[in-house]
Amino acid sequence: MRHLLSSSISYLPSLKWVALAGAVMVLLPIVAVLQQATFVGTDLWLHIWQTVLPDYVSNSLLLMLGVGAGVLLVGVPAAWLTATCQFPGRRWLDWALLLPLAMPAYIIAYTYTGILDYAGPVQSALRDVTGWGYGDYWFWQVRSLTGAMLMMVLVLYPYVYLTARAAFLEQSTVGMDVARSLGYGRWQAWFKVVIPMARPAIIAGLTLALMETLADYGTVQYFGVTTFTTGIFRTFYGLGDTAGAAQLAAVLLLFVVTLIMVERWSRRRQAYHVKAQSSGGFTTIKLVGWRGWLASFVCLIPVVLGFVIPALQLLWWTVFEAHVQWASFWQLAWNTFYLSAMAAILAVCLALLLAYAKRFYPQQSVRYAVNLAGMGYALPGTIIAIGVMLPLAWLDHRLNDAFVWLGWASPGLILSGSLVVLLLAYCVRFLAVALGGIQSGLGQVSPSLDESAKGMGRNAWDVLRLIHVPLMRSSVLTALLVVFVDVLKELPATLMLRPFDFNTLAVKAYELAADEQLVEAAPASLMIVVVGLIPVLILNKAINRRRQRI
Amino acid sequence: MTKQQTTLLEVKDLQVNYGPRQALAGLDLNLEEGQLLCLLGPSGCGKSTLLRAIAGFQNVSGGQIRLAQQLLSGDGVNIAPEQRQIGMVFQDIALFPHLNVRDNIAFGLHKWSTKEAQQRVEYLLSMVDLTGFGDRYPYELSGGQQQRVALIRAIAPKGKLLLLDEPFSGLDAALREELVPQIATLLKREGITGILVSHDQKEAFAFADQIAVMNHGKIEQITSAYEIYHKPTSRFVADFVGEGDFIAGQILDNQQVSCVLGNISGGELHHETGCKVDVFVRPDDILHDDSSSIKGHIVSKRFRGTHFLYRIALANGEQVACFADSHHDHDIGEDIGIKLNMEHLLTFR
Repeated sequence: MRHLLSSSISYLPSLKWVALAGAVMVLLPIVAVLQQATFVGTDLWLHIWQTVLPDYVSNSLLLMLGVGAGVLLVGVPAAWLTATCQFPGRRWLDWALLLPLAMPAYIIAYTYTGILDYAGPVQSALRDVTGWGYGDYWFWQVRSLTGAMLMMVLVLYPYVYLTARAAFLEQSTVGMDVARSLGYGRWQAWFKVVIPMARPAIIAGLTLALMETLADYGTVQYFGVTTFTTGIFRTFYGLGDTAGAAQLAAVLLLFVVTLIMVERWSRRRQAYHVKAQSSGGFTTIKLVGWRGWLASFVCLIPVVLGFVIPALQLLWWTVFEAHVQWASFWQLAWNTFYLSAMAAILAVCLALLLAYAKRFYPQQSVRYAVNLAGMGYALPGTIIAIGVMLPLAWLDHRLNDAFVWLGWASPGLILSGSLVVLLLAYCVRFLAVALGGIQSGLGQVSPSLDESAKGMGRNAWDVLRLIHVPLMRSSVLTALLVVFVDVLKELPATLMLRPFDFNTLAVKAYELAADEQLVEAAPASLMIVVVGLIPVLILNKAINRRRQRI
Repeated sequence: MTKQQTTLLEVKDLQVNYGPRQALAGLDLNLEEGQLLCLLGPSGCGKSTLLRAIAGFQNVSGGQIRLAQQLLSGDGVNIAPEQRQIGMVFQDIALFPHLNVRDNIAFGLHKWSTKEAQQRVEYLLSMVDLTGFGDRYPYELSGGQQQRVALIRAIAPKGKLLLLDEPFSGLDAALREELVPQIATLLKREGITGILVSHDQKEAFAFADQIAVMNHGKIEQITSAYEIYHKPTSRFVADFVGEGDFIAGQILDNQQVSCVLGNISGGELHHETGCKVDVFVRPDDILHDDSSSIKGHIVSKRFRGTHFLYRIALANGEQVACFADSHHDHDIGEDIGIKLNMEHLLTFR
């Protein structure tokens, strides 16, 4: 069925092509990486294959295993407790559990290193109390594989918490009640019914967390854990071997595709799941006495470890210990701001075009194209970086050749050496984020609204101006903001693609931390965390609104 | 209730408080084995709370619940729901979406041997005409089919009592009308004792042997459908069940009452002579008769296919409702004659 508006703006047939272009844009880096990866046979690659690859694979797998188990262990109980039980502090723990979302993994890694390493406050205090000296005692080394796991669990569990909580809220306590009326005890019911019913949602959250784990560069690099991302980085920059890096990226891509497939498979029947028609009485389980306090404790620990302690430490360093050079700091903030703003505007505009293309041309090809354009979120920044760098560099060379042939001065690397390459990478990576927000916003504007406006004699532009613009405003703003913050936090792609001498807050924090100047890295880190809080608060508001409707 | 039967469920002076609010205010209820009871009442009357208290999902603040002489709730005892041997069908059906029909039904048969459980499942499926549906998933069933699966899942473990918490409220009217008597027949045939919670009297009439009308956390009256409709003992029950109007009257003696419709008799009256009462008049008590001396004019009318429902204003301004033959089409404002045809005279102070 063709949409009513489409007839009036069919002089914009290009909208359909925009959708296809969006899909091509996301596919471009993948194709470029795969194409480059087929230049096999370099000695270097053989060397990599024989020496470091097993390390990369085993470390990446171990990391995924540890982070996966950890986020489930933290996220699922917290979600179930806050969704279905009553205990002291539930109301604010409910949203406080989202706070670690504002904390990028690399920043929490720097912060805990500062807290827990030899010169940090914890070990110093330990030595003061016991009188031990260097080498007299054993202390857990935070800069390790287990440390990296722990850091990522602390900031990635909210993905599982969010999806699992939504599922628990939806199934309410009725699943548990049915099981008990059929002779199952509380714990039995929990494992036989409550968890299996929420399984698709839990796996969806888990997959997101694991994708972030695979994509992480800052943490593993700082902790000296060699994974695919650090390997790609080293091969690309340290060894200057593009083909080798692309091959590593292709193997990493295999991991990502597997994850996507697992997630799809787990949801295969989800669309048909009978939604519990909420039956007025949403009963909650009252936890009194020590059970209540235990629940509070279980939910409080992730908040304290994942947000409160690192945020306070960053604040302390910034206020009392860092030597902030304000002029350069504001330059840094401004760079970050305009880069993020440009990327956000670009991504959201593209998302708007794609979403409207899907609405006006509900054909299979357009739908596939738009869905494909939303797959970029799964690609680690390192893959995207190589994938956009290669074609743009190729284009630059052709351009230069053409200029020289025409007898003009060579323009230099105007695409791959400028912000263009960076913006393209951000668009590929974060288009999905923008698209998600815009599409759900557009979903609220029911086609019958358009039709009734048309029925009252309004033309297509009136409909857009008077109905879509006011109804879509908040989702567009939210999408802008979320992309803005994601770009602000992004590290690996920025690090690989930024023009010479162009720094952002994230890059500066990374560089200072790499120089062991953790205290000096604090102001930039703190700024990232504070700005990162904004979308968390918006998310919380949206969830509360949804909850009131239940 | 005079017949010699064993009492299965015994609820004594049951109280449930939600904070300061009393959901159940000292409620008594006895249910004999094999009976189907319907708890009927407006929302908030405590009927679902009573059901959940019997099932064990709701803690009681006072009183006792006994099932087959065993104390389930009260006096410091609170048997867990899973140990009460009470089956329950929930309002939102609540089939497990991740299990197929067979596994849903067998869910409560975890203590049975595999073979026995299989046989039980097949028997139950055949009982509700769903043989061959065992491998389907809930989303592949229609609303009525899901309902039947939810029912047999609840009765599969052969509990002592079956509770049904408004399970038909999600279905459309036509399907409900078909399904409710079917299920009642099935439960009767299996000899199952059951309690249905409902706010729909048609459903109650079609389902239950006994109807308990609840109000403000208490049972106002418990008796057969016929008696509830024709011999309500309280103003609330009269008003809640069926349609009807209260008109002012005065007791003449222990047989007669006078009102705007004349002097009416019918059954024994238990009020003092001369005392002012309200007479309860149902639309089927009033017949349209042009030769009658009692006249009223039509205020509104509704055509219902088989009959008209007129609202008629009487001489003193009081209004009553009246069923008239489907062919007696009168205009609003017109005067028509009516006469009383009352078998059970109901008066309330």
